[in-house]
Amino acid sequence: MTDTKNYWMEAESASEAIFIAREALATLQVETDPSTAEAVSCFNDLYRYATDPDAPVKSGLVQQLSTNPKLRNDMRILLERVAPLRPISRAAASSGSTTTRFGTGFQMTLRESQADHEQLYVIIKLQDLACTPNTLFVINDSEGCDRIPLPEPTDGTVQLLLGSNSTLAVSLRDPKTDVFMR
Amino acid sequence: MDGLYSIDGLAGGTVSNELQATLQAISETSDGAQVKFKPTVCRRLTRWIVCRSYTGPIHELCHLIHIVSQIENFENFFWGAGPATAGAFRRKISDGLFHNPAAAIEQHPSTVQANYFDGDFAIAHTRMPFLSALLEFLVSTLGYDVVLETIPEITVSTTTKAQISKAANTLSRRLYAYLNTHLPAATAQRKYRAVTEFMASCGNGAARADDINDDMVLNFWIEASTDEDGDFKTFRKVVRLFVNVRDALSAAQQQGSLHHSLSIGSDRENGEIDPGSIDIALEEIHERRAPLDQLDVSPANQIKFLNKNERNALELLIESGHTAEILPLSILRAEVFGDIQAKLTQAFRRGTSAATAIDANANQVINAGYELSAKDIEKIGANLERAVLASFYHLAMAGDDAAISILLEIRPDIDLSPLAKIISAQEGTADNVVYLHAIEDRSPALSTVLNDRATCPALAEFVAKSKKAASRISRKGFAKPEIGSSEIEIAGFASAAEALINLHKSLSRFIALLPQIAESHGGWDALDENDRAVFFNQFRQLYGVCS
Repeated sequence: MTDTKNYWMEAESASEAIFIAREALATLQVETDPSTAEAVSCFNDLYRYATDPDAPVKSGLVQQLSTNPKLRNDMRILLERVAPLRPISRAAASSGSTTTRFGTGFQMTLRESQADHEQLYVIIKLQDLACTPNTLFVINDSEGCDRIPLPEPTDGTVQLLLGSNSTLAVSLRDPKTDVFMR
Repeated sequence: MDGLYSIDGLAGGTVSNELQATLQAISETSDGAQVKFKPTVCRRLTRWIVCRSYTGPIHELCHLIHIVSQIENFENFFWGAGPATAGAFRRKISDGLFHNPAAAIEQHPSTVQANYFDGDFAIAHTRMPFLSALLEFLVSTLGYDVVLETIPEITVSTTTKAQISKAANTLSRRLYAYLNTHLPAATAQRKYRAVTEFMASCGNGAARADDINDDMVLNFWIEASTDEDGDFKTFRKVVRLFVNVRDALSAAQQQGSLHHSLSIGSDRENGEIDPGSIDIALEEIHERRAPLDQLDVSPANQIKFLNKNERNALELLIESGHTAEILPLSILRAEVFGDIQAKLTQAFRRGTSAATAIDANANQVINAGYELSAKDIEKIGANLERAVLASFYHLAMAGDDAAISILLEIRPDIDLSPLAKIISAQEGTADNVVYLHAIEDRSPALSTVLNDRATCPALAEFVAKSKKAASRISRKGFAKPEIGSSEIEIAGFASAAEALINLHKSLSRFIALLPQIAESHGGWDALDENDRAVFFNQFRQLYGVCS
């Protein structure tokens, strides 16, 4: 069935092997002290964060997504598999007041408000009117991962208004940022 | 650190802390409404990891990934809504097959089967919660990207059994490498060899479980506690060590007599050590802790059956299983002098000099020796018995069947035959089980029956005793008899009943040995005097104080 190495080849006897396993078991059974151990998340927490906007977010997960590149990379891979609206291309470097990025079934444009330069419109045009995403994920290697609830689309367009200098606006202007919706 | 979802900064920073934190996170994983994996599933997962017996399950898991990939996104199957139970997974497969009838998958009553070009493979639905927890572990430690890059070939319909095996082997090798870093064995091996070499030097050259006794434990500690590596410094750890060595020697000996092909002792030439046999040996040992863990799990944790001191006092004894009865004095010594050693360590940390701390504790212990410790243990035994009785009372008054289980466990001799007059037996069911119920509605009838002094005086007397016990407990979750318990408290009593009974039994067996220990050493005072001299002399040597 398998050609993997038997770990216990190195043990001198069955009793030694049982003892080593028993000691490991005892170590793993000791509960970690919550006051000294940082939060650790499982993939289950990541999956729920990616797929269930109503689920409570596991304590520490958002922080881990901003500091742990492996976890963030897995979030990106997961969203590529479970989010129907995902990037085709990253945004082109901003030329002036407008930035546009394209995805599977959507086009996202950032446009500075003409009335108030401190504000930024995020205009998401959906190609399939039957597809109504309710959550936007913004993944950026320096800012982490944001999850933003979306309003209902009007005539196939979702519109958000952000502060120009908000973390989210900064992320969305960055061409290296990936956006997903579901 | 190469675990995916662990981060630097865990206490101690040792590799096993990372693994430990991941396993703990898995055990706390929620499906949104409740804990996703049952404690038994998590315990089994931990055991398979430490025994390195994951190769077979990973192989099964790869077949399951193939099966579910034919009917839906495998992530949704394993992580989608709903609990990780056999029934839930069976329903998901049925639903998936309804929408994908052409898939080469057969759903049977208790298994699901994949039909490949080069053969078939069936998986029991009851295995799926465990396989789901195993996948959670693999993804959370090796990484989602690593798992995904290993399995693309097995998710397609045209895959073969050979390709499944290849993917399983790749995952097993990766887990092997991960555990080599995160679950190193060198320290444990060194400790085991130190003990068995000491045993061999004391006896006829062979290390045998039966040779281990209280004197040997103490002598080893005296000899090895000053060891440079510090593995044997505390007496409590040395007691645990001997319990573990004894368990390992006994288990290997038992398996050796069952399967002659398995080597025991130092004879390594008779055959390869099977990870599965290590798992079997560990299962009984592992389950010993289960009663204590069970009390921590909801809804049992709604009730304060044990306080912190009682729990601490019971831990070593319960974890030692029957070995506690082989090494009762060592357990007692760990309670008395192990505690003193812990206090010394705390005092050193506060900056107290070794000489001052040792002298202060030497004076205190004169008034707090074995007799007091034995009385404390007896008191815990009495509290546990009261908790069992009170649980019975609350369950009985709520009409919960668990009351009957408690009654039969703690009073197996009670004559219940008079109840035949007022209890009816229902017709046998299709599964040939006859359920006993009172004639009237069950809930009120059970308490009425139990209180019926005229029909069954012995039972009524027991109920009165349990009521008295219930009225004497004022801990969290124990309502006064006249008030009655809430629904969640009744669920707590019911789920804790078996654990409480097992704890009470283990403790009762140990308490029964206490008079013999005192008698065989000339009484508690004589033993106190002797051990005080031995332990404090060793503490002085260990912590560099001239006597």
